[in-house]
Amino acid sequence: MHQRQPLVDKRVLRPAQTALALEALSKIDLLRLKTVARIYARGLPEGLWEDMLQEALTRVFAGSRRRPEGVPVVAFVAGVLRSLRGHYWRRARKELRDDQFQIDHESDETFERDLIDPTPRAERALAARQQLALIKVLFSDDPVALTIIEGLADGLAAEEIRASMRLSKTDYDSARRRMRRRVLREGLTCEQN
Amino acid sequence: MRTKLKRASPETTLLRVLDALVQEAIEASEAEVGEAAMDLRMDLNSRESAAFAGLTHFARPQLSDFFDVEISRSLRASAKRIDGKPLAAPKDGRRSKRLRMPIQRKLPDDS
Repeated sequence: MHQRQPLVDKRVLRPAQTALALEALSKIDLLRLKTVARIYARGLPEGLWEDMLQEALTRVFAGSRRRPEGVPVVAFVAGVLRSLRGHYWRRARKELRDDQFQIDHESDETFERDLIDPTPRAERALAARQQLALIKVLFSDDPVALTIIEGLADGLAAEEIRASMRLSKTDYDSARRRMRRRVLREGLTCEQN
Repeated sequence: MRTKLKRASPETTLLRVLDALVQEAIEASEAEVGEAAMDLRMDLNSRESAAFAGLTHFARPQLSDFFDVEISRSLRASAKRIDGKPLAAPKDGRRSKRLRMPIQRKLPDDS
């Protein structure tokens, strides 16, 4: 006897898939957001950018974050990711810290544990310096881009960077394009940054 | 141009750079994103493309890709037991076999 299959779809769609299905975001938008998530997840444990991005999209679609009119979706989700960054960072550090001093009574094996500074400020400052150094390594073969990064780190505006470096607008713009290309290439991969 | 610069904390400095890089990613044109994908030999027309790893599919293989939900849940639980992390305390408050062993103190020799 022919048995009818129940009309139930058990697949669980990921928020990014939902965004695509609803045409809220295009494939290219999702790739831009992947890059953004990977940038903001720098310094976090490997693969956490994925959770961060899916959570940001969930918050936007669930309505817990309301997008103001006129703000593009990509820019808005990027803003959500920026605010999630601090939350994920604190959570990752807390888990790491809790893990440091746990004594495993069930196991005879000894684990090498790194002692970390109990004051969060020093630890975070060190992590930030390390990440900044890694970003500089990313642009190490481009001296103009490196100087732009240093200018940005000092909080200088584009005109101020150009004036201090005596760069023409064309040279500055082409350096920023090279940086953009490098950032996108780095963002589209899934290698640990 | 500013004559004085206030020294910012490393976190603020990093966030400024990250914000600038994010701005680049947001402003990237469709062609630029496509070029970057092509450089990495990623086919954006394929649903299974590595470019969409972490977006439409997980960046890393998941247990649920190979097993049923219930099986993958039980596998995850047993994996947690052997990955070196301490087990949760037994609910009935029993101590582990090793800890239940009587502690024998070595007394100093009288001789």
